[in-house]
Amino acid sequence: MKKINILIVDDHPMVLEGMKALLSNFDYMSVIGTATNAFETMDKLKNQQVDIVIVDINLPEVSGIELTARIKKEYPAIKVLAMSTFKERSYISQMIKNGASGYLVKSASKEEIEAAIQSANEGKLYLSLDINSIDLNSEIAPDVPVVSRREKEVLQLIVDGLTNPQIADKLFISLHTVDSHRKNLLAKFNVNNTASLIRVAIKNNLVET
Amino acid sequence: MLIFISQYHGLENRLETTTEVVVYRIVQELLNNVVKHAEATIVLVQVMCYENSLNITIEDNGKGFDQATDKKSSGLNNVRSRVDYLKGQLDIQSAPGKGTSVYIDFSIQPGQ
Repeated sequence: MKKINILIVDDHPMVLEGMKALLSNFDYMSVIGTATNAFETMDKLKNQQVDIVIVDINLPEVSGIELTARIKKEYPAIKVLAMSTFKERSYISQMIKNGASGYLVKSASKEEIEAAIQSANEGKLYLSLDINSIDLNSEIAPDVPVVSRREKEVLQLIVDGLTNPQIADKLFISLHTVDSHRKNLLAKFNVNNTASLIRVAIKNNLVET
Repeated sequence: MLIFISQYHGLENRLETTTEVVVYRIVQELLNNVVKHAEATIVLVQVMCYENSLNITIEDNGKGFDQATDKKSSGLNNVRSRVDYLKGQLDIQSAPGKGTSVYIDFSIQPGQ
């Protein structure tokens, strides 16, 4: 079986060493490096074959939430597991929205960490047991609005400069539906016109430019 | 474990009773599908209401289905007939392993 290559990102050396030691218990995992900030992480990803990045949410300068979005944008195949002491819902929802495959609290046991890495590796979502017991089946109110698949497609085509009829043609949906998606996007981001919509879409990394 | 992400807009005022009930049943049916069949971990529930129109999106990250072959879902047919009743539009995006996104859009009477 191919080993799972792991990169650990945390600004505290003790956490890095602890995590490394813990993961050395599993012979099918290999910690191929550590990083203490977002810049170092992106550097390492350039040169190494990594399957899973374990990211601390609370990093200096560029937060783990932003780093997650960046990793998923540049390396969609790499799985990200978020790690933190925070249990607040908004952090979890933001990480997941940005493409994280799971969320671990630092109080997690060895078994939980293994389960998280395994499910991330299989492309499944994993949430720490601690969090499950707090938030089981509850609603998460995201800080940044979530856009649906269609809305995202429409948004991308708006940014690409297509008109409503062109978008309708391209997505095989009616002109009326395109207009509704556009209306939804304006309402969600609380903006009045397309120019402002494009600006927030770019700011929130929702589109490719 | 299923995480619900919900977003609403413009639902401060009541709608016509029939519309309210039909919207409720559609959302219920679609969520039922997600819980029963999708094997999803995240579901987005969105209801956006404007002066003359209302749209619903129910989207999950589950196993999806092949729209060409899996046609006989009675749940989805129920939704389809309700949408037709409201003279609305239905847009379903799904593929095996890619999750399912159902979008429904119809006109409503203003000023109720």
